[in-house]
Amino acid sequence: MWLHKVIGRLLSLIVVGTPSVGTTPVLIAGNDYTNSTLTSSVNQSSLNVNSNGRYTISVNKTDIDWNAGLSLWVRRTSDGTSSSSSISPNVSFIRLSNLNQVLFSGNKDRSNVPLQFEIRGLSVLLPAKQYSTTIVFTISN
Amino acid sequence: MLEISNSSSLSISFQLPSIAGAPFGSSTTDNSKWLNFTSAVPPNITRNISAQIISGSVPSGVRLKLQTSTVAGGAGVLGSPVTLIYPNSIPQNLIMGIGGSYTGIGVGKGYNLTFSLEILDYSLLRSSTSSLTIIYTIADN
Repeated sequence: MWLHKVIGRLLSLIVVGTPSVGTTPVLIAGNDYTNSTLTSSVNQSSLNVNSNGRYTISVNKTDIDWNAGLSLWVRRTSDGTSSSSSISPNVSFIRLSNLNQVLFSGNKDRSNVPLQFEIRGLSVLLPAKQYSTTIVFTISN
Repeated sequence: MLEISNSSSLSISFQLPSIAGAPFGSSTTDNSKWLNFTSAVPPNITRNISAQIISGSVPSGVRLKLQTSTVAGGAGVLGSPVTLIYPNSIPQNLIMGIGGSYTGIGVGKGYNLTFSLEILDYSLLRSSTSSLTIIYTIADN
């Protein structure tokens, strides 16, 4: 579930796409999952920003049913498209928590800022079930 | 997912008495087999591993003895061995209470199986060879 929050005038944020990171198998009896980390495509989702001035996009997650052994990460993989100057900070993954963290800051309209997601800590040692969390993107000036 | 490490066939025989009138000595033993497995389970579910003879039979007058070691290596809820069973055509639990876990792969990982023979009834013994196949199954309780 994606939330869209608007704070102030001429400031809006649209999230496009659904996070998906695929699956990992067990190939040999006796081993853990082949990959403890699953990574989405580099443009799994994207952000479209409408702003007539400076803004900051922040992100957090609100757990519905989550396991502390798992961590969820997100990053932007490029600047997207805009007529204004580039955005910052860089494109490193940030680990999502229930606290807002800055994803990037910029100025004026910007479209198609691609997002990549990652889940780390996958293991057969975790109960096999569906885990749920909500990722919240917030735009503020 | 379950696998026998070193799945080649094994051979067990009785040691002949060296003196006429003496009983048979103990049988040879084989402890070359290791049970390797990976188990991802939903919450509050455990699994057992059972063994049964699916083809062939144990020669008359003797019984096949299967002993299971404590687990070596691995991580998670690896279950508890039933230390001794006499395999037959009915499934018998060998390992019980397996949760989310993996043993590691190969010889020296998981549960070591030791096979030997015991004489039940001398009057039924015949000089012969016999082949049989044992299948191991991991399943939810």
